[in-house]
Order: sequence, then structure tokens, then C-alpha cells
Amino acid sequence: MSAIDRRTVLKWTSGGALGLALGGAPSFVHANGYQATGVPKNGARVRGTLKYSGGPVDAPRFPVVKDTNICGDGFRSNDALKLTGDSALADGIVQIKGVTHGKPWSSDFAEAKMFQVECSFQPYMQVIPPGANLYIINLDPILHNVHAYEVHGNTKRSIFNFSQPRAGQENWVPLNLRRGNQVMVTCNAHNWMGAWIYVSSSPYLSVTKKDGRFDIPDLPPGTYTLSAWHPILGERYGEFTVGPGDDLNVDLILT
Amino acid sequence: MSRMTRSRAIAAGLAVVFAAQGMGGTAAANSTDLVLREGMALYSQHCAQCHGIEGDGRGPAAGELPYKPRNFLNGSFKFRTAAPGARPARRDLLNVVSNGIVGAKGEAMPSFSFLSRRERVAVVEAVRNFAGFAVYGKPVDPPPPPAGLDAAKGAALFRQLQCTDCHGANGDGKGPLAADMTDEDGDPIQPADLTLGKFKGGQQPVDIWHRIRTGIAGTPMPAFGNSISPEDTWQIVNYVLSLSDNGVENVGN
Repeated sequence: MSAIDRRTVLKWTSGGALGLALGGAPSFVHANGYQATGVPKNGARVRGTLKYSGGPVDAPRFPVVKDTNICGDGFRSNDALKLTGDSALADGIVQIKGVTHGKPWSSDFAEAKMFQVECSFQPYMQVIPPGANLYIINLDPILHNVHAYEVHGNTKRSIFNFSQPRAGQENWVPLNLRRGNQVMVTCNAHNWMGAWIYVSSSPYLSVTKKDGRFDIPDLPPGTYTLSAWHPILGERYGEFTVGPGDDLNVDLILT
Repeated sequence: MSRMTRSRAIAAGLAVVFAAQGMGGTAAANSTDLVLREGMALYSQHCAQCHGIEGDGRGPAAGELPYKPRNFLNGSFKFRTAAPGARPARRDLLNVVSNGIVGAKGEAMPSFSFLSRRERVAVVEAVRNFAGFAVYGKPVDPPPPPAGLDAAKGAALFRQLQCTDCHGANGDGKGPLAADMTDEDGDPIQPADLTLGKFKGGQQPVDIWHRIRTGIAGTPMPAFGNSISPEDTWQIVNYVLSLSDNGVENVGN
């Protein structure tokens, strides 16, 4: 990790008199207090693009020592930043913290799925409400093991580790974290494989798409913290205030 | 509940609270608290040297041991008989406290069988409290080994399930993935050399059956309980035991 500068900068590029406080390492706790009271009328919307403007990030490379017919030859890597076009950064989490009530989670998120395809986990990043079932499906005709850790600050706790030796095998696990929000999934049989699941009781968050876009609608008016997090780059955040019907279009830049 | 019974219950409750305060406590006391209190006292006396006064595995003697003492705060317990991913059963923790742990590098943890069973149960409560879970897992008992165990069939399963990647084609722990393995703390860890016949989770066939079914938490060893039948698990146990002097005849006895 020494090649990676974890310091990041969150920069507002939209106009408007928005108060912004740049913070250091965050100490937010899991928003257990969130209540789904319904979609607010005349809610605000926060959307934009997550970008990266730092130098090149060296992703660890791992030699493929077995299963080359499925995993390929040479070296594999997983953690490189996924950048497109104008430095848009995919697979980040943009989240509005401090929301105590509002819309319910969409039923699309009642369960989550994670696939093992050609020796990679797909998707790399996803969000899921607490207690939802994670379905894990192996599509490769080789053994993978699914080793999940709860990550909180500097601590890492193994929460489950089971094998899937056959193509088509499917298992599910309810994701209940003790504290924190982040689950890191690895495969000990293929050590480049990795994926992340972000567990949040509030649905006011978004995984940035290939073009870096995020879109978080139906936000009750108020003052909140806007956070951008990427597993390699860390988290930066700032405060903002929205009124009824506001439509904020912001670019967030991690460096 | 009649009035008479209730007042008796209250009186009994007061007696417990007074007893707890007499021991210097202020927390509301019930029988579980008292067991936990006794367990913490025993823990401080017998366990904290290695596992740390806070249960973090960093006691003053920790650095001198051939194996790293468990960090209970992570809540990962290696040797379990509950379903894959479930909390350890009370008996799992009690087994370790009672029997200790012996591995290929020697004794990892001594037996505390000199404590009474009640005292060992209390120590287990202290460990559960450090790990931060409220309810023990439900233990699963294996079915009896099937008739006609065949070491060749077990060996085929051992290869097919790619146990060889870590444990080696001969079970000597020198598989192609063995070199770069780490535990959940990021410390180096080696796959077991199965030819030595020293199994940290217990030497009995049923112990090995559970290691395969539930995996070893916090290490790269995954659970196979979702992937293979209990009978096939016995076939692998039979093969694993055939690799060492423990002998095939152990299974089924």
C-alpha cells in the first residue's frame, strides 16, 4: 500500500454558496438510527461525477500459479482504479450521511448477488441493507473460496469462509455486521480476487458507475455530510445543506 | 405468578444484588453476571498471561509461544462444531479450555482440566463476553461413518476439491499456494502438514470431520459443509488419517 497516497481531496465544482468542511479520517458509525418513513415530498437530489486526479496507483500484481485454463497466464491484478475518459472513477461509494429518516430501500436491494467469473468477483462494489442475504454463485469449474471480512478502521474480522468447488454452486449468507459498514471479500485460492460490499441502513448512497456518475434523489431537506469513499483511496467528506426541491450537481474529486 | 411467589422472587433478586455489591460490583446482577464475574476472575488468573487482560491476544507471555494466542475480540474461533459461519457452540470453547491445543510445533495451549467443570464454563463465559456475542451456536453432530470407507476414494475427493493446492499432493502442507498464505491479522500461516498426524483442532476423526465441514475461522481454510455430503467428508477424514500414523482403523471405532 505504500505506493498509494491515501490523502484525498474532495472538491466542489458546482456553483452556489455551499458550506464545505474538509475532514480527515472519518469516525462515523453505522447509521443504526435510520427510519424508513417514506419518500419525502419535494425532496432534494444530489448527483454528479466522482473523479480521480492523483498520480498513477500501482495495483499489486499476483502470479497465476494454478487454474491457468480459467484464470489465464502470467499476472493478475484487481485493485487498479477503474478510470474512464475525463478521470471518472467507477466503483466508489458516494453517500449522504446523517439522514435520520426518508425513503425505504428499493426492493431491488432485498438481496444481493456476487458471482465468481474467470477468477474475479463480480461486481467489485455493491451496496446492501443490513441483514439482506448475499447470494454467492460460482460460475467457474474450479474451486473458489469466499472469505469475507468485516473491515472497521484498522481492524479486520473474518465473518465467513467457505468453499465453492463446482460451477453453478450457489450459497447465501445474511450480512449482519457487528460494527462498521464495509465487507471485503477475498479468495484464498486466487489471491488477486477481491470485492467489496458496503452495508448501510440508509439508502441514500450510490455506487459510482463506469462513467463515475452517481445520483441520489428524494433527500429530505436538511444539513448533511457528503462522503466519497473508495477502498484504495480512502474517504473524504464535507458538509452541505439542501432545501426542498434542490437539485445539486457536483463533481467530487479524490486525489 | 401469585403475589407470594413474586415477593419471594424479589427478595431473592435483592439477595443476589447485595451479594454482588458485597463483591465490589455495582452492575445489576443475575446468575449469568455472576458466572461471568467468576469467569473474569479466573481468566485474569489463568488466561491473561497469553490472551491479554483485554482478550486481545497480547498478553505479556504471548511473544514466547510457538503459536499466536487467540485474539478473542475478533470473535473468530477456529475449532467449531456449529454450522459453517455460525457462532461457536459452548462445548467448542469448553473443549479447548479442557483439552488444550497441540499442534505440529508443540503445545499451543495447555489443558485447564485442573479447573472444575463449573470454573471452565465460567471461563468460557468470559471468552464469549470478550468476543461480543450473546448466544452460542448450535452444535452439529456428524452421522456415523458410512460402511466401506475407501482411502482411494478419499484421495480422489482430496484432489477433486483441490485440497492439494494448499496441503500438497502428498498432504505434506507444501501445495502451490502454501507459500504466501496469511491469517486474518495478516500474519504468515502455513497449511497443516497432514502427514504428521498432529491436528490442532483435535486428534479424533470427528474433530477432523468438523474441521473440513466448518473450516478454520480466521485462516484460509474454508468450510466445505456447503459443498460436500457428510459421507464424502468421512471419506476425506479417512484419507487424511491414512497419511499419518494415526491409521485408517481410527475411523469408525
